[in-house]
Amino acid sequence: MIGKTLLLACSLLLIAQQAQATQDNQNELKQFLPTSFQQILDSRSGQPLMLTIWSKTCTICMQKMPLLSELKKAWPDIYMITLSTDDIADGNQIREILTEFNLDTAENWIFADSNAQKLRYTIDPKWFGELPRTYFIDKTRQRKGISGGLTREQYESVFIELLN
Amino acid sequence: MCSANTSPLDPIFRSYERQLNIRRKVILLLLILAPYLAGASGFAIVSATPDSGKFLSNTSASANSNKKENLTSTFGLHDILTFDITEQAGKLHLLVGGKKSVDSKRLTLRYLQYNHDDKQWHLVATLNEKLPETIASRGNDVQIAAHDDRLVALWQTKGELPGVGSMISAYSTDAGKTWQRGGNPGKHAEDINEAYIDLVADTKGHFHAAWLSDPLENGYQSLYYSHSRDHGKSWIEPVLLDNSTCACCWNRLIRTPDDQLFVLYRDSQPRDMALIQSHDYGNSWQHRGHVGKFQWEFSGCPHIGGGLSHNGQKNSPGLHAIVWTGQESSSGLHYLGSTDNGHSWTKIKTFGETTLNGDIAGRENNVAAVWNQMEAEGLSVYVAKSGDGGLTWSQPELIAEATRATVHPKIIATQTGFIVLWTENPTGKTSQIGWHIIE
Repeated sequence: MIGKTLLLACSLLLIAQQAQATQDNQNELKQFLPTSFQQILDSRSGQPLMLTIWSKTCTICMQKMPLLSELKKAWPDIYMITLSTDDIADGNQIREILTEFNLDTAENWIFADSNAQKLRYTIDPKWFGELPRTYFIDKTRQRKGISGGLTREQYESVFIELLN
Repeated sequence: MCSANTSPLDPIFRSYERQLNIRRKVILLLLILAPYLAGASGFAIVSATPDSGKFLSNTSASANSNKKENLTSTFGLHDILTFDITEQAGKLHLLVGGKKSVDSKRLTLRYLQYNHDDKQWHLVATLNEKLPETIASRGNDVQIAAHDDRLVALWQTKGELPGVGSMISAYSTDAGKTWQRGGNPGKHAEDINEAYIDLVADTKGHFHAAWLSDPLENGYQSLYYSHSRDHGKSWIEPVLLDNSTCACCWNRLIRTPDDQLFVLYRDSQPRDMALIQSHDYGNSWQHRGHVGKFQWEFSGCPHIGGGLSHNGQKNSPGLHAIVWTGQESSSGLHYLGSTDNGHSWTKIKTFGETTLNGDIAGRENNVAAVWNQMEAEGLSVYVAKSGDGGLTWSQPELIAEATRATVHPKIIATQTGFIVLWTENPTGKTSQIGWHIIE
């Protein structure tokens, strides 16, 4: 009896920890540093990625959030990553925005170096910082960068290419 | 043998006293010589008290050891996040915003004047301790304009929603020593976003402002204008100049010696720079089309405006512009000149596909352009000069290295040449202002 109670308690504890870990992952905002882009490229071997770079000060970026959320759900084979170029001091607000648009389960990053150009350069030496900026990265880690808001059709036509 | 007034320890004490005296003299000597030693090493002691005094500058090594060194300062603040500079009748006026300390939650705005004799910035006043705080930042900076002893400052305040706020003005009638709150040129509620402001004073002492806003809640930004005829105390009803513009790029409002007004702003479709002009003190405006017809179609936030300058000669139709485009075939900064008050433009020079954040200033036949260059270590600052009104240009010259992590250089013409200012964030330091004098 005691043994069963103990087992039940341990199981409940494990479940609670798992739930907490999932919760933490959902709310996790990783710090983007000069080595982070390479880390992203090295991750998820063999799976196409889509990196969306945005800012809370970018009107079009915010307008596209609901679409990104829909695409994430509809295209699970494309691994979605977001990167905020906002100040890391605004991290809580960024988390709130991502949660509001159900993007907290994506892999989310935020610029964590005051030298933003240095970070931009690691992603793309020719990117001026205009937003939104989207990188479609295929299985071989070849990438294409597109500036500006995209339509659903534009996203999906690239997804089809990436998955072929 | 010890006498009645000595002890065996006396020789030791006397020796100690001699050493102490020597040490005291050395310390005193060092204190006297400290300022000179510091100056020789390239640093100067900041002697400012919180609300008075002058700010001596740190010097930093220039990329080219033959060139004049750059100067830097935090003006007694921590982390400079915004500034504006203007020139009027030979005086340079600087408005800077930074934190008072590491833990400060709001920016403190300080007004300084440049003294040409001692080549130092002198703090005149802190503006906003009793005024609404600002959310200004580089690319959406605070603004200052001057006419004799009258000064006006404009900035975007902190609203209910993050990153949103209306404008506020402050004015001074005593050369910047004291400041009062003026009217809001936008005349809108505090939850209306008014940003990307620019401000000039004309020869009559009227102050003119242009900014982006969406008071009708259309979902896109528009360009507005207003002016004040009582030195910033009150403003006329805002005038809509362009119904649809880029949402997030700075505007450039300039005044010619004969009081013509021009606003250079980023249009919505295409996302090229557009020009609008008034020749009657802002009472009526005429569109002058695009400056650089790149036909750039873009749905997003470039966060890059342009630079515009007149050549400073009365009744002269000469204008200079430095514009940025993200159009793939021509990305980067371009210089264009106009000899007919902006009716038509000639593209004369391209500065390169990794250039951005350009600004320009002209005085008679001399023109100088500054910009950021994208590099692996950060953004550097370059300058190029023309001595023939923009027809031909010098090779670009590096004035601040990428490792200084500079952003958004600004340039204005002075009576002896030009002055360039920017903010920089070298590793291990908080943001400070750097400047470079071109004579």
